[in-house]
Amino acid sequence: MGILGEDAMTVRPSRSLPDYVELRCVTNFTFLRGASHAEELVVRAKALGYLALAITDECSMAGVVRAHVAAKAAQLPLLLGSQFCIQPRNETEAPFTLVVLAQNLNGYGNLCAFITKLRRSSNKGTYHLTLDHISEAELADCVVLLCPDRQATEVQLEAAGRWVLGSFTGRCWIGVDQLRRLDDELWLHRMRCLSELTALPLVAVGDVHMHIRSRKPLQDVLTATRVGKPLSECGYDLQRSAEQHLRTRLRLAQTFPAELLAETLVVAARCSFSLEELKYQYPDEVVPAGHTAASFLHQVTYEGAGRRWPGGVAPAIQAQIEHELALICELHYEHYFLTVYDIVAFARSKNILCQGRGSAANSVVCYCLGIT
Amino acid sequence: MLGHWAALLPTPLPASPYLLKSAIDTASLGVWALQFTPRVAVLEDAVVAEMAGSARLFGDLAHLHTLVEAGAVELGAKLAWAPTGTAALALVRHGGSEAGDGFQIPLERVLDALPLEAITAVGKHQPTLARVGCRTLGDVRKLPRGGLSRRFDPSLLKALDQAYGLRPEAYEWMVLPESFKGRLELMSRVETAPALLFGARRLLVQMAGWLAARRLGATAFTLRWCHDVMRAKDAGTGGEITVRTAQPSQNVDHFARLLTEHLAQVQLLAPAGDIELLATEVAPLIEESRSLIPETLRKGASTELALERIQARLGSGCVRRPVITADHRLEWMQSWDHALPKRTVAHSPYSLPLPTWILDEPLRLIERDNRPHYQGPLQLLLGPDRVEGGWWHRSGETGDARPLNVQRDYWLARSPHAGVLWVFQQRLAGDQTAWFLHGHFG
Amino acid sequence: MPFPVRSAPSTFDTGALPRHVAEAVWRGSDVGGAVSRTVSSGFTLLDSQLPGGGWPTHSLTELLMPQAALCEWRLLGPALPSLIDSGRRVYLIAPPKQPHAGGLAQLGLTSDQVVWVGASTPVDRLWVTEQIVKSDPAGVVLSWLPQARPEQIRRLQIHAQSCDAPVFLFRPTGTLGDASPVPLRVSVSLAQGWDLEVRIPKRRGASLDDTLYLAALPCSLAKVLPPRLKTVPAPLLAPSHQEASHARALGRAAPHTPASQSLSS
Repeated sequence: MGILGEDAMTVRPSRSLPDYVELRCVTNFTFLRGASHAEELVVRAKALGYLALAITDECSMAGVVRAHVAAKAAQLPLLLGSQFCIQPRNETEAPFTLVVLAQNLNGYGNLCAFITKLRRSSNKGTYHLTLDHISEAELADCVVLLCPDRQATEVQLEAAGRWVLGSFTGRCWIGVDQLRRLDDELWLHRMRCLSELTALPLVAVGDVHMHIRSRKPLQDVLTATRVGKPLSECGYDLQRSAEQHLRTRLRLAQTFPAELLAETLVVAARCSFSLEELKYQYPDEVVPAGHTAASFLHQVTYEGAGRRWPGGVAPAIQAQIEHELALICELHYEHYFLTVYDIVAFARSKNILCQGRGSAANSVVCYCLGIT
Repeated sequence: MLGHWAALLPTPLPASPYLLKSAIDTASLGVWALQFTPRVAVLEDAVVAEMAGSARLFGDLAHLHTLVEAGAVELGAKLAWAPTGTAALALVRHGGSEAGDGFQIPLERVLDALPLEAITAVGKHQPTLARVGCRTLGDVRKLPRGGLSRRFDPSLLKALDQAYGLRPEAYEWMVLPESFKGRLELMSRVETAPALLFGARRLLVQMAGWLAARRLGATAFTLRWCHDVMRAKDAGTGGEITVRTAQPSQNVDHFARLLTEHLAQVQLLAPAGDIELLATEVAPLIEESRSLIPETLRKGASTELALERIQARLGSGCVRRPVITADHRLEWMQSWDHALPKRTVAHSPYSLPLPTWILDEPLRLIERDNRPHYQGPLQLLLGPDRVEGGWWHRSGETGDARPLNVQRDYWLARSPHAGVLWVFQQRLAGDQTAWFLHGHFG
Repeated sequence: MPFPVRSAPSTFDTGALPRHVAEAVWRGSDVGGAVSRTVSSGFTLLDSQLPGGGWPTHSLTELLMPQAALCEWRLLGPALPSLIDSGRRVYLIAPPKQPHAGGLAQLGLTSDQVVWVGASTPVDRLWVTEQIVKSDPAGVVLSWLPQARPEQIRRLQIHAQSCDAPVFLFRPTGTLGDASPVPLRVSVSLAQGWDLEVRIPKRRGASLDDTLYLAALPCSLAKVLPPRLKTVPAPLLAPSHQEASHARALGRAAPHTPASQSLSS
């Protein structure tokens, strides 16, 4: 069914404005490129009547939390994803951008793992990605949009298209932008040719960097900061126009063919993940065989109590222990305590100084477990 | 003892076009000769220079001869060549046209035929020697040496020996002055500035010689003229102009042509009688091995001079070179500058098309039926192409500086009469829009 | 006594002559050969009609146009790569409008290859052209001379004979009727679509009565034109082009009606 609900796919009369989902959008968590807060983007998308908004910061999920909170308040469906710039390995390739959107919890997890792995293998603040480092399995349960670069040759475009088709069969599209440039019409034509060649469907994307057009001066300043030059010397590093904002559906209808706009709904329908689905998942290894988390916590707590009060546990303390254990079980925090217990035990065995802080100081269970 | 000597004797040439009052002075002539060799000395009323060591630098002796002869003609001096300095001097004073070269015929034969005055030290004793029957130097040479040394002062025999190459000559060589300043008095008062050129040219030749000797090129020289004493009170004592050239040069013709252009625009406030030339700015000249200059550079050199002449006549702003800046706005993407282009980073060409002609100011077009018109209705082919930016750019520092912000939709348009055009549409105040022509794809 | 009957004169057959004689014979219908080196114009059709197969050197070429800043670069652009390489320059003398260095860069002319010499009066324009031509520059000279008398041009032609760079004089089409000492006169105007209509009123050898149509798209536009704008019909060329707007007819492209499109925000 997807994030849009049942009504999304009903046919609307052509005279009214087309439905649209923005699939490629960065927040200011893509440092020195995005010029708007996630909240501003969400509110604006809702005001424009978009059916949903995707947040796709570059090699990062940093913006999704605020976006999620704002989207929940505005009741706008939110798609979560990230975009990556793929570098060429040789002359037969050209750089292109891959937008990856999570379809479900598993896809979200895969995407996060992918980003983590990528960031860890590069210098802080950068990432380097080539086609060698992407496998279909790593990004299972995600949909991808291939957004090529306009400078690429037809040969390079075809190579990228075939790779995407082969690696993400059945869940890939070509993302076409139309940025009010003289070569827009030719670009659309080239993308249609690529689509016919590779059977990849076309979908409209905005490559959004800000929520409204008047945010452009700030975006220019961010660019100047990023390249380290005064504004007057930035030249072509600055964006040519303020088109990369969340556009009105009227403007979108004048800019894109109707089927590309309609395709955005098809993409969005494949994605049904929400951050609401996330819960803590602790490692299972901290619970030995034959126990449940609660029973094992119960056991080690009393073992620890025995060590702390060799002369016997006072009734008041025992009552306190039972009270805390009941609270922990009610909130399902057993794993958390056991994880910390495991870490602390390891540290103490290696003579690493360990201190419990904050509210742990007041907890008898923590005292028994040796955390404090 | 024998070398390759030239003697230069300043003489006023008859019916000279240069309007010279006096012949060039030996000091200036000597400075000029220093470009060929450092061994230049003033000897009595002439300049002698020993050039054997310089022959290879100038290619060969024949070429050296040609250069010296050309200069001698320009400066108004007689020239003679001989194996010794004294002999050369003797020839230049008294030699006929064939004897001007003391190398073709054996030295003794040439000298023997000359009269006694040819060598001053001998000519001093002319009455005494005449009584002994000596009319020519050859006669004197036949006299017994012992008698000569006893009878006459030792300088006679010494000079004779030096002339015939039997005794070495030693002179005090001239020192090359640090700066150049040449002066010339004109034969008749000159009323118009261009007429100053005749005298100035000789001074330019002298300056070129000094520059060559010092291995420098001039990038600026000043011509000063002094008004005649009988002049109107408010005319002042004189005037001057300074002529500049971009590359250091020693080229007399180039200087002369530049000077001609400048003088054409000068009005003399009173007739001028004296002129003076100073080399005001000089710079080391990078000498090129002539045979290694590729064809295009050699051609380029003369075109550079042509461009300088053009700038001298029409103003230095008329020759312009492009300067490309990175800016999305068409009018700020490039500018035209008089200076020679510096080595800037080569920009890769802009990715979207640019017109080859741009209007100095965008031209507002009439709009009818929702279409812009320029020599008829325009057919809009492709667009829109949005360019926005420049909000940080102000036209000046003062409070009334305008922001040079643009927000334009460009269109490629075609006119059957005016060709392929680059027009834009811009929003004015309120809901009005206006069309402008900005460039031609021609 | 009857005179002997002479047979009718036969047509002259150069094939029957020894080769060295045949090469020295010129027939009235031939295009003249080159007097000096020529530079290909970049248009095969035009090259085939120019003496020597290209633009001449050591001579002037007059290019007549109905307006200035109309199609100078469209005509000369294809020849530029062979005219301009290291050290060579384009000299623009009194161009009718400000040249745009970015546009020229897209034709292949870098900043140190372009010199713009401005001159406002006809006398100055002629003098500047003469000075530059006499200096035998390396490259090519383009001069706009809306007003010049035939004897002034004759003077330039004499100087051009020792100038290895091609020299192009841009003049109004109205001067076509004037006698001109220039050996090659080419008249250019706009034709349908991207074509230029070229006539050659004067050249060495046989005159050209036909009109040539050259496909002269401004170079920098080639990379951005969509298929519907790429080729347009031209009367004399074989129609081997696609008609425009399949895509629009099938409803796949976004509706673009440029003439009536109203601008919104």
